[in-house]
This record gives sequence, C-alpha cells and structure tokens, in this order.
Amino acid sequence: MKKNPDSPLRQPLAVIGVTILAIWILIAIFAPLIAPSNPIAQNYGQLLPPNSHNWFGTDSVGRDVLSRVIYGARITLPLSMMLVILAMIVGTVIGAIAGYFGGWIDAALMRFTDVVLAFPGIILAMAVAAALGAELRNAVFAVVLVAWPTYARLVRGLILSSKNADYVTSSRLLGASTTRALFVDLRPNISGPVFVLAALEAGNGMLLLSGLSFLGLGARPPSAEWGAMVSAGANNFDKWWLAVFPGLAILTAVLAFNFLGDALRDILDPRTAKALRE
Amino acid sequence: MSLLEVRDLSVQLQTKTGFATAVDRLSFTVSEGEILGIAGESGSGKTMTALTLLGLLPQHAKVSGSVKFNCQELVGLSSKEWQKVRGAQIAMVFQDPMTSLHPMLSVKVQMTEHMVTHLGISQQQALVDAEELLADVRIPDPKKALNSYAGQFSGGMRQRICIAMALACKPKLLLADEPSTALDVTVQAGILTLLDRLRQEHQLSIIFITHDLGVLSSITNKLLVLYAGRETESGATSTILQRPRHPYTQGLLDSLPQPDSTEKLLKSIAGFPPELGKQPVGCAFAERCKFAETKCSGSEINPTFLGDQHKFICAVDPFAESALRGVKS
Amino acid sequence: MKDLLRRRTPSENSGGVRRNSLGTFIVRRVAIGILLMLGITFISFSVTQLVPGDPAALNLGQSAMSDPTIVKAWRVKYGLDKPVPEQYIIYINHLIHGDLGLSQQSRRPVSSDLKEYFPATFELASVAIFFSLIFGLLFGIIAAITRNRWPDQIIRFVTLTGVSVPTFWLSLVFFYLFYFKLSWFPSNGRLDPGTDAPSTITGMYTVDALLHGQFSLFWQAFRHLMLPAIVLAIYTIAVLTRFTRASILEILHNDYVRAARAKGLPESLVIRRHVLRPALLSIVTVAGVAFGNLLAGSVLVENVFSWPGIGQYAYRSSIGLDLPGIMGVSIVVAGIFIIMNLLVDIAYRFIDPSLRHG
Repeated sequence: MKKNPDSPLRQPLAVIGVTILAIWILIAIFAPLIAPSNPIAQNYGQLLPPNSHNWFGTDSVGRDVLSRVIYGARITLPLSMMLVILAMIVGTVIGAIAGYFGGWIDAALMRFTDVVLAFPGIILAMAVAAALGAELRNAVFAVVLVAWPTYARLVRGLILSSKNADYVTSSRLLGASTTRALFVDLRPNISGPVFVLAALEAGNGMLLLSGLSFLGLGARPPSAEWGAMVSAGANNFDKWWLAVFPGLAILTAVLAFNFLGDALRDILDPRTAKALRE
Repeated sequence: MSLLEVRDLSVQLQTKTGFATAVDRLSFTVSEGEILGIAGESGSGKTMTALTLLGLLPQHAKVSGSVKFNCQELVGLSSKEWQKVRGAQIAMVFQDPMTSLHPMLSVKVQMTEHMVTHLGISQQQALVDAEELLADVRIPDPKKALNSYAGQFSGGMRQRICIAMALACKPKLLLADEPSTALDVTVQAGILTLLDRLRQEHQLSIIFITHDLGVLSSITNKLLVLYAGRETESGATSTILQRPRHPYTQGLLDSLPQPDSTEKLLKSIAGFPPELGKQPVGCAFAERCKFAETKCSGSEINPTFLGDQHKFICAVDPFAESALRGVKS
Repeated sequence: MKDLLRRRTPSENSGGVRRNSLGTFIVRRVAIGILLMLGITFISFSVTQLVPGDPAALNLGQSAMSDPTIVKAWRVKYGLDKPVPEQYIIYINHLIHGDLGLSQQSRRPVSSDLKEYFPATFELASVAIFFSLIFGLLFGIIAAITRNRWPDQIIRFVTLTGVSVPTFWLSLVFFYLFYFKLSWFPSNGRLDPGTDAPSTITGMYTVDALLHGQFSLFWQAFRHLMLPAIVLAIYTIAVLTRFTRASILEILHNDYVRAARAKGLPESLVIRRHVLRPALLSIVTVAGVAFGNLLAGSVLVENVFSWPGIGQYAYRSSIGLDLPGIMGVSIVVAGIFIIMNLLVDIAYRFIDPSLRHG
C-alpha cells in the first residue's frame, strides 16, 4: 500500500482527537464496569472533597462524582452525535431541495434559513427548550433547530455549483435523467464537505446542549448529564470538584471533535475547503 | 558577455517525501535584444526556471549552479539584494492576468509603487510616466485607466497593464510566463505584437515561456525545449522547428493542430511526464518515446552539438538521416 | 449567525452592487433588514405558540387561577383571548409603533425592561471586543507570519482550546480562582453590594461614573466588569485569531502577492498594502459577528456572574415563559445583528474601494 503523506493518520491533531473520542466512547460503553459506584446512589457523605474513596469527591446528596462523570458520557456523547446527525439530515434535505429546484422554492427556503440564522443560537434554543418544557429531548430538538441552517447553506451552494458542472452535463448528455445525475454524480462530491462540517459543528452542538442543561433547560435531576452537573457546582462554587470535573469532561470531548474537524478540513483539497468557507 | 548566462542550474523542491528535482542542470544564455522561448508541458520546470531568475522560489527550495545576470551572480543573493534586481533589472509577467493584479488597489498605485522605490522619482513624476506607459501598450484613455480597478478591465487589457507594469522601471530582461495562454486567440496575437514592438523600442530581452510551439515560432529567436526539468533540445527557432532532432520536439510539433489536415484524430504524445522527483537516470522521455532503445535508460546521455548552436540530448537520434538528406520532418 | 461569516466574499459583494452610491446601498440593505425582522417576529411568535402549558397558570398564583374572572381579565390584558393570527397582527401593529408589549413577569413595558438591561450588556460587550480585537489580530498575524513554526503551533493549540471550552464552566473556574481564592476581583453584579449606581446618563456605570467625576465609583464598576469581560474575551480572541491567521495565509497564496514581490517591493510594503487590506475584509466580518454575538447578551456568562444584561433578561423570560419578553428580546437581538451586518457592509465599501465601481 502506497504511503499517503496526506492521510489523516499522519496529522497529529487528528490522531489525538480520534484517540480521545475513542476513549470516551469506550468509557461510555463500559461505564458499568469502570465506574466505582452507581451514579444515583446516595451512598457517601455529602460534599466530600476528592479522597481515596471518591476520586472526584461527592455531591450535595452524597453521590460519587467520578461515577456520575463516567455515566454522563452515556448521555452527552450519544445525544451530541445524534443531534449533529439530525441537523445534518434536516439541513441537507432542505439545502438539496433549494439547490435542486431553484427558483422561488430556493428563494423562499433561503430566506427562511437566513431568518433562523439571524437569531443567536443560544437565545433561540433557550426559548424553544423553555417553551417545550425542560427535558433533554426538547433540548436536543432545540439545538437541532438552531444547527440545521449551516448544513442547508453548504449543501445548497454545492448543488448549485455542481448543477452546472461539466461532469453533470456530460452525464446528462449521455442520457441520464437529472435526478440520476444528481444522486449518482453529486453525492460523492457533497458528502465530503458535509461530513467535515459535521465534525466541525459537533463540538458546538455539545457546548450548546450542555449549556442548555446548565441553565436548567435540558437534563433533569438525578440525570448525570455533564452540563447539569456543572450547574450543581455553581450553587456550591466553593466545592470546586463539583463543577471542575464534569466541565473538564465536556472540554476534552469538544476539544477532540474540534481537533478532528480541523484536521479533516486541512486535508481537504482547496476547492472543498473553499466551499466550507462560503 | 551575454546579458544572462545560466550554467548547470538545478532546483530542488521539498515535498512530503523528500527533495524532488524540478530543474535539472539547465544551461542557456540570453543576449541583449534576444527572445528566448522555453517550451515544455506543464510540470516541465519552465515556470520554476523563471521564478529562480527572480528569487521567488519557496523558502525550502535548494538552488545550485550559476545564474549570471549582467555579470552579477544571482544564486545566493540576500532578500535585500533581490529587491534591487526584481522589477528594476528583471521583471515578470505572469500567466493569469485575472489574478496577478490586486483587486483592491487602483491601477495607479500598482503602476507607480515600484517606480518610486526603484527609480527614486516623485509620485507625480511616476504618475506622468505611468500614463505614458499605458498609452504605449495601447490602453485607451490612460488617465481614466489609472484611476480604475482591475475588475473593470477585460483579460487582454489586464495583461497589457501587467506588461506596462513590468516595464515601468525599464528592466533589461522580461520573463513572460504563458502571457497569452489565458486569453483567447485574437487577443493573443495583439499581445505578441506588443511584446515584439516593445522589444525593439526598448532593447528588451525576453524569455517567453509556453507550451504552445505555434506561438513560439512567430516571436522567438531561439528555443529551449524542456522535459521533466531537463533540456532536450535547444537552438535557433527556425532550425528546431524545421529540423527537430529530438523525438519529444517532433512529438510537440506533430500535436499542433493542422488546419488543412484531413486527419480525424489529434495526434498526441501517449503517456504522462514522470512525477516530480521520479525522473529516471538517462533519458526522461524514454518511456513514452517510440524510438526508445535500451541504451536510452540507465546512464547519462551525452549531448550532441550541431552547427548554429543547435544542441540535443538523444542517444538514438532517429531523425539524423532525414535531416542530412534535407527532408522536412 | 456564524453563517453570515461565510457569505462574505468580495466577489459576491461586488457582483451584487451595480449602483454606486452609498445611499442606494443603505436603503436596499435596510429594506432587506426590515423583511428579515418580519421573519424573525414570525419565528419568535411561533416559538411562543409552542408552549404546551397555559401562560396564565404560570404567571398567576394558585388562588388567582381558581377564579375565572381574574384569569379572563389577565388573558384580556395580555391579548391572549383573541385568535392566534389576530394576536400576531396586533403585535406587529404595536411593534411598528415602538410598543413591544407588556412583560408578563415584570408587568412593565418590555421596552422599558430592555432599556434598563441593554446598557449593562453593551458595557460588557464593548470592553470584551476591545481586548479581543487587540489580541486577536496580534496573535493571528504572528501565527500567519511564523506559519508552522513553534509560535504558530502554540497559538493554534491555545486557540483551539479556547473555542472548545464551555463558557459557563470557564466562568465558574475564573470566579472560583480569581474571586474566591485570590480575591483579585470583586464578586457578582455590577457594583459592590449596597453601593448606589451613578445617576443614569447612558446606563453604563463606568461611563456614567466618569461623566459625573466619580472616579472611585468608576474603578469599582470597572473591576466588576473585568472578570466576565475576560471570559468573553477569551472565546472571542480565539475565534478572531483563527480567522485572522486563516485569511492572511489564504491571501499570501494569491498570485497578486507574488506579483508584488516580483516588482521588487520591500516585504513590509507587500504585507501592509497588498495582504492586510484584503485580510481586513474577513477580519471586519468576524469582528462584526463577534461584537453582534457579544451584544446579543452572552446568556451563560451573564448568568454565572449575575450580570443584569439582556442575556439574563432572555433567560428569565424563557424560564418564566414570559411571551412578550421572549419576543421582545428576540426582536431586539436580531435587530442588533442586522444593524451590525449593515455596518460591516458599509465598512467593506471603505476597505475595498473597487466595490464602488461594480
């Protein structure tokens, strides 16, 4: 196998990112085996600083923080990834429809996209999550609502520039219907940038989701979601271990996504990297 | 002593897998008032050669050999010394006029900024001179043009502005890298006529780089044909085009579309040039050459020198007999 | 909002503006802005309609809820007895007259509420953007010029971390470290407890205190500003640095930079005149977006530091399901973005004079 100097494996950032993510995924999968105790069991003394039994200390009702952080991976990670995938799907479909049909459909959809984008993410997400009721499911929905427009714009732009591209024209000259031309010829060209965008946006999605939980608009107690745990730490801020460890968990996970996204974007050929910037 | 003397020039570029030779032991000269054409496919090293003459190679490039311009050695100059050469002694016109002019700076600024630096004249004087230069390259309404921006001009006009810009400080040598390739054919002719006229009026020497032999035939005095960074043939233009001795040159000539030909398919040279850094020992063209024999690869091939400064590097020399018989190839 | 970053390419702008005058340009953009605002009112109105519960139940006490007359009176007061489309039209009608409705929680006009909360956010945002611009541009230029050598690597790593940190967590960490442990900065709020605010001129305590000549008050207000401003600045610096670096590197690859060098111009002139000018376009865009974001009220930072800005107002309105409050904040915040956008576009025309010629 020829050595590819551009392969993702050779980018140190990408490798670190993938490693950290892999570690977290493993932690999430094997949580029951790794965690020292049950995350909702109030076994210990309250608000104990880190000690030999509770490496991360205990919270206000005597639960082991380390176990909660470990189990928290089972909530935050899958939800963040699901959120990104949903936003990607919704955005891609809308962008594809706009790009493919053009005309007034395109104009209407893009105006709609503009309006949603004009809201700062957290304000819209907050309003939606609050309106629907403080539940993790609603928070995810709110973040998806805020996140899809970036994908829509990207996909629409790619389709528009591809529609006139020579390879689509030649495919149609050979007799392919427009639909076939789009699906077969465009898909490989679109999926690349979309996935890179997803990697770049995944970190933001996770930050927004945990931010909503921090504000009390997402996870409900006794759920061991990282954002909500930091919020509990805000109430007893002198007990630093309550907020620091869940926050570090969020930080490392988001960092991993961002490393990966950055490295992927750097590897892309200039054309796709340009498309991402537009 | 010629204006430009290049001896054994080699340029190595750093790639992800090590150093690759982009230009391999090139030697040529350019005299005053001469037009040298450098011909070759993309990747043959022609642009690299031009960039070397201006010191514009990437920082990690390794240059060896000698480049003497006006008796001054250019290889190894410091950046400060290069700034005195660029624009003032040697100037360049680049391939794509759409991207070589700055979109946000007015033509006036781009025309005069180096004039003030190199010639030590005032801005007002520079503006007057710039207007004359634009008129010289046949830009209509030069005054208005000076206050305009690159985006307002067509490709042909932009290239003329670039040429005027290059000649503003009266350099002795102009490097033209595919100056008309990005333009359509009718505009091309205008640019070529312009360059020839300027050469005569200003005693300019030009190195004209292109893959288009048709263009070279009309304007150049001598030719240098490059393949994979190496010289394959060089000599007076008329000699090379009428009696080429290297199969590659012949291949390039054959691939020129003939308007009165009855052939259905365009002739092209099968295959691709070797990747950067993977030039074989011996003749780089051997793998694509229909005359290749075993002696073409494996060891250095000695150049053959003919009269009239005609030189070629081919171990087989398949056209020798027809040349001797005076038959046109 | 981040997307507006991507829309800006000089080619797009110069392609769109065929007419030259600044006036026509502004009029066109304002018209688009108004349409956008309309869309925003529509969306925020729709969001308020998502509420499954009964807003009356949330805002009235239990005993009041058991009395139908009170409930009905409350509904009439807030216009909730009319059919939904009519409510929307009424709202738009009031909006045109500058009336944002009555807040269900504070029982004051929303516009008064916003007038009270906005200066706090503006103060915070201004300080944050000031530091962010200085350091963001500086680090970005350094990173671009020393590309791939150690200063660049360090800057890239640090900024990547900077955009990955959850702001609410960083706020808590800073609060703990610099207030609780080190006492370098005072605690929450805009002033020490028990201190009176300077009488209102602009609503910004620092400015007002200076205008009244109350220097110690100014210093107190400023010290309270610092911690949240620093947290906000960290994120913004990271973003600005990355963008500055990327745009400078991209421009350095352009043919016209090589052509400028080929003319024998000194490198400093090439960078100053040929590189920084186009880079400025990208940077202005990002800075505008960043400032817009800061002005929109950083909900999380304001929450942690108990900073009474519009981020806090948006939070309280959302939690309390104060529908007029939610709509009012959305409209004002979106309006801020649209204005920032317009300012950025105007700045473009000054940075890139070629745009005036189409």
